[in-house]
Amino acid sequence: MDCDRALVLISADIDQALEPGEGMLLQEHLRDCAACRSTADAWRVQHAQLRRAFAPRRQAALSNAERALAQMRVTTVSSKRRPRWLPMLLSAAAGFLLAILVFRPWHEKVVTVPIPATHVDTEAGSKSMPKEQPTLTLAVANRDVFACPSDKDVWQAVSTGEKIPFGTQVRTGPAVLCEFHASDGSQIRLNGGTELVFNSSRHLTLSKGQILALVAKAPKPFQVAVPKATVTALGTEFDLQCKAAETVLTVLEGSTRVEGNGTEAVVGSGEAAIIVDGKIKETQTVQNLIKATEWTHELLMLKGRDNQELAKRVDEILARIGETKVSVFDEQDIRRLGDHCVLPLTRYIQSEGSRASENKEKRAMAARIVADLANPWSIPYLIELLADNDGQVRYQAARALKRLTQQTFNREPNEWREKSWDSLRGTYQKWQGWWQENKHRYPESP
Amino acid sequence: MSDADLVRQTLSGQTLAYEELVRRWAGRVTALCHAKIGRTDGIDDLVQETLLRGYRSISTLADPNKFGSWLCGIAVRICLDSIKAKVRTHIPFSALGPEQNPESYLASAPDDDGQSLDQADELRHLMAQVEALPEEYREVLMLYYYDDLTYRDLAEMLDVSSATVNARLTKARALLRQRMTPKVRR
Repeated sequence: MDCDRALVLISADIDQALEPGEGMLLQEHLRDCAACRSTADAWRVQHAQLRRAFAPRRQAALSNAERALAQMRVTTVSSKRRPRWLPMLLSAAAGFLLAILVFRPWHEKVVTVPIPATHVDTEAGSKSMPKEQPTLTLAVANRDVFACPSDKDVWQAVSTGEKIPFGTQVRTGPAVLCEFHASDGSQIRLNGGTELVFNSSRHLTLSKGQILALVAKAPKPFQVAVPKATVTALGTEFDLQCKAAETVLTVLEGSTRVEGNGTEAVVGSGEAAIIVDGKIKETQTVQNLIKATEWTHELLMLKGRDNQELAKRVDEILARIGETKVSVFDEQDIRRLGDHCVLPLTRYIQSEGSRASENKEKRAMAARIVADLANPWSIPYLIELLADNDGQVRYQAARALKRLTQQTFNREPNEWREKSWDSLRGTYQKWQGWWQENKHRYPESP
Repeated sequence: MSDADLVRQTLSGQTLAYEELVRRWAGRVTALCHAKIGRTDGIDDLVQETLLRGYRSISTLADPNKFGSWLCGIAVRICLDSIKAKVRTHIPFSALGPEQNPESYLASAPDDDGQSLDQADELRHLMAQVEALPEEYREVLMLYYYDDLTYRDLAEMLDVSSATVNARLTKARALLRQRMTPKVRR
């Protein structure tokens, strides 16, 4: 099979459209052809990016359908024929009613009484007082988020960066994630299928779905009303999942107070409480808090690769591996972060703490993930890893460099694992020289 | 239930059947309008107009089995009218017909400034590159990513073979990769 044919099959493979037998032919070709392997890797990454790029457009297509249907229903109703004389009769009736209201024939005498200034301030003033300024901003969203202001009955898509007034109902469709920022510094993340009302910057009503609240400290308590109970944040971070029959509260940091049905209880950090009919039915210790809030990872990725919360998450997953043993599930958790995990993993590999003998397996895993997911901006870090004491780390770095640059300086990745440092030093120096000459060709940072 | 069954139900007065058709075809119609216009700006109105016009004129559809191609025909006409109606200050993407050499697209692409982009920018950049593909590649790529269509569905819709769909998607991916790879700055 030639490379042109292989490229067509790679494309079909990505689209799951290979015919029987073609998969085996393609694998045979890929085994021997580094260029096509590289293209296959690059196209898979591109495919994932295209999926993400089109996600908002797919949502827009659904919105188009709903808007067209709404217009269609209006057209259907208004196109029903009415008698020609009906509008005239209705106009006459409306005019008569207006005249009655204006002249108020049942009032014998109208007395005008001056209204004291204080009265205007308290009564009329309160009615005409401008609404509280919008202090909630949609900061991040992977697709359209819909909001319905308290004084309207229309759901509209909210744009990222748009501010919404208090009293607004917000809902997210399936798989739609978003994050709102309140002016007091609190952040509220919404999972797919969530419905809530932002009553104020410190009070929400959650009727359905899941939120993660990162609460800024303030004198006024931060409260979330859920069916038959109220959760008050005494700490800073908690997750609430509102299901049909129960609400699950998971506290990540600090503690929370749950009040409802005449009872009150405190749920502490690292605990999950199941609330039924306003009362805590059961409390459990959560073994893996990262898992409990894994749904927020896509949002963290939307915030960019070099964000501290993401790096902290990778560190926490790595720390957990250290507590037990290397788990395939933990590795998958990290891999799911895509190339966002490359920077924190590289920093981990380079840290002194990771060089302890008990971390050997963990370092090798980190290097393997970096090699699989690294992008061109990480080339200088990979070159540094070529000088690592551990042959496994050097091998993975060489593998990634070959993938990203097509360059080997006549030394295949497996040699970096097997040969002595004395024989590798010269090639390492060539890589350093190459980088000085070529670094302008690559992005400097994520 | 097939499109043809839903068309027959709509014609017998069951408007809910047309709602199902709208939901079924909204992705493809949006993809088609996006591909024809070459950008997202304003296309949602064109899609809604297409879906509504389809409802109003469904009684003129001669063969219920051809609802999809009939609706897409309406979408294309609405897009072309929209293009004609607007005085453009830049070269329209419609000028990039199937006869255009893809390499000229690469040659005419703006220089990459080499700066690293954050993820949102990267995705916007990628979408801009998709929109700048020659129409035959842009169309098949958008239909594929908007609606998860199979090669067979795409082939039927575009009136080409499955092999042609595969070849066009392959070319589209190759062009995009080339365009998204940072250029050497000397």
